[in-house]
Amino acid sequence: MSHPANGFQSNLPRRHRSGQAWLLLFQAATLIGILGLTALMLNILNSNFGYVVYVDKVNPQTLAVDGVPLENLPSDTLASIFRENVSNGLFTRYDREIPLTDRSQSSIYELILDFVIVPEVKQQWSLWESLTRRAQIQSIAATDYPEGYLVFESWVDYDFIKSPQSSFVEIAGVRTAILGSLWTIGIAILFAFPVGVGAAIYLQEYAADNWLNRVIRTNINNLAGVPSIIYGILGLAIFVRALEPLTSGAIFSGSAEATASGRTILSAGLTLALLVLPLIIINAQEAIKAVPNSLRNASYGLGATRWQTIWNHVLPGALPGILTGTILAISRAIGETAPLVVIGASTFIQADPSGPFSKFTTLPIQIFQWTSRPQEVFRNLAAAASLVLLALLLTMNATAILLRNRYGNRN
Amino acid sequence: MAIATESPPTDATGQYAIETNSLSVYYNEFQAVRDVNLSIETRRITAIIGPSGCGKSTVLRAFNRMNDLVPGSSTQGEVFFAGQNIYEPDVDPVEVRRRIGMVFQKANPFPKSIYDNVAWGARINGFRGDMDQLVEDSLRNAALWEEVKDKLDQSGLSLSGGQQQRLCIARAIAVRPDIILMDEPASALDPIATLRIEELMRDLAQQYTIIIVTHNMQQAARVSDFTAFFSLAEDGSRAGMLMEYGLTQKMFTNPEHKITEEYITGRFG
Repeated sequence: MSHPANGFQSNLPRRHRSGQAWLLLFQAATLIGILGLTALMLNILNSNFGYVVYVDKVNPQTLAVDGVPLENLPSDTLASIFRENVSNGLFTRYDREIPLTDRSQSSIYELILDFVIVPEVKQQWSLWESLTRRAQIQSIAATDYPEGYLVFESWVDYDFIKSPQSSFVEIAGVRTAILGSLWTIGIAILFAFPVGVGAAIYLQEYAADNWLNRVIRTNINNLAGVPSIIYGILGLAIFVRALEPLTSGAIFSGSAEATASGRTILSAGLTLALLVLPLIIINAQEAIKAVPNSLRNASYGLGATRWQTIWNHVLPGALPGILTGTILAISRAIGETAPLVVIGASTFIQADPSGPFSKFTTLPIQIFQWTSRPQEVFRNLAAAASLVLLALLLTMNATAILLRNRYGNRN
Repeated sequence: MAIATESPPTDATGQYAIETNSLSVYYNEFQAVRDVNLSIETRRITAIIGPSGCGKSTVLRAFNRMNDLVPGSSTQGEVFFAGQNIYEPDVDPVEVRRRIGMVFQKANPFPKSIYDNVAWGARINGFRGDMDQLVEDSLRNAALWEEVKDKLDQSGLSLSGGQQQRLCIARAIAVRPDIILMDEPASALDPIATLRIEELMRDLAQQYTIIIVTHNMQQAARVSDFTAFFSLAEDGSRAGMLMEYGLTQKMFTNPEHKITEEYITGRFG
């Protein structure tokens, strides 16, 4: 093309080229992100599935009666097999929990599986190995463990989710940790949501734009960036130590029987609440700020008070944004490990949390504990627990997003 | 209540809807409006005209204390409404705003149903009568009833721009104000919608005192009974001042001041 006017150079091809170059860079950046996420998912899946060689302590065929295999035997026969093969103490414990006569055939069979047959993991392979070196694995299993058997195992399954923690890798589960996570997150949100939104309303709608309030706002922004372990130290000092009578539940039960001292779900929940509070405040402030002033003017112009304006127009308009902030807060809180370690989460606990004054563990802590075990097989449990954690996170976020869309579209 | 001696005496019979006495409005240090003395006639339409930045909207918002909501604003002087200076410390601006309603430049219906848009103001102000009747009456008075009577539960935002503005007028009259302030209510509307709003204003003037800020000279000439012309102070301080005030007919045919004539004939502004 000819020069459009004197003094202009024909640089259009060059401008297009530089645009192309930037586009390539952005695509590369996106690709790196996708690769990272894929690697993460593959890594978790790789440890979650794969061949496992089990060796039973007692061969189930020796327990068969009159040629009927164990799993098909009636309840009463299974019950007597259980009684004969375990110690008196163990039998009494389970019989007292639910009398054996009241248990179903399959639950007695499971008891026998867990305490009589006791399959033990001898060796395990990752999903990648299981897919690529199948013949080799089968021959290793056959030669090294002649009495064992090879199973393609999914480490995460229903049993894993419903079973409590155990030091036996075969029966260990994450129920305690899931419940602990749900309890702490629940308390954290219950506390942080109203406080955070309330503070945001005050700062955005009531507080004058003066020196003091600007300092407060800046500091809330800074608080959001404080490393979580520092919140752990804060929680340890305030909730675990200073407020021990409250957080241990001693002042409610009236006795000093509290076994967890201050290291309870309540302390953990409040610590996480402090941790996510700045996040909720900042997001709620932004959401409130985004509500158009014309709406406030319309409301005031009709003779509405400030609170009527906030409650009827500002908050409904800001709710989707506030809930988005809460989603972020939940995501942050559910993955926090360091502050909970500092305030003294239990690393090994089998009893389900029964309330805010229970000892607790959470999923990230469970994962952390399993990965730090010397036996390699616990890595598989850690991977399975990671999958559960991700699923829990996605479920909670999906719930929050559904809530947001529902209230966002109400008008 | 202290009334400055040089101000025109408050008409005890309520001949004037609003009277100001040396009204000045500041935004922080900046004086936006200086020493306005204005008496607004009851049940008439008064137009406020003038070039951009001369404080027209500021004066209008001073009449129902909407300026209170602007951070850094302060008001001096007096504004009498129903025999009371609304800037006295014991006057509640919330009550003032119910009695002196406002329609804004950009139609701003609530993101609620048409019905709720009209009913909400009455509800929060403690209306205990027949709400359906009130909504219908208000929409009829705003010349919107026929268009929306079958879709009262639809969002107010689903209406066209002109309909939204009439909805805002219906919403304003639903709280039974004495005065309606309109801040360039038709500036974002097409000529036909503008005409409808102007017709509506003429109808409403039989019941309400209407004060309208407008940039549109023809509009002021068409709808208003009285016109107040504001302009910037000539000392370079950029404060808005009332230059001329009187019957619209007279001002548009035979203005007293040269600057008014220049503005009206389009030579500046």
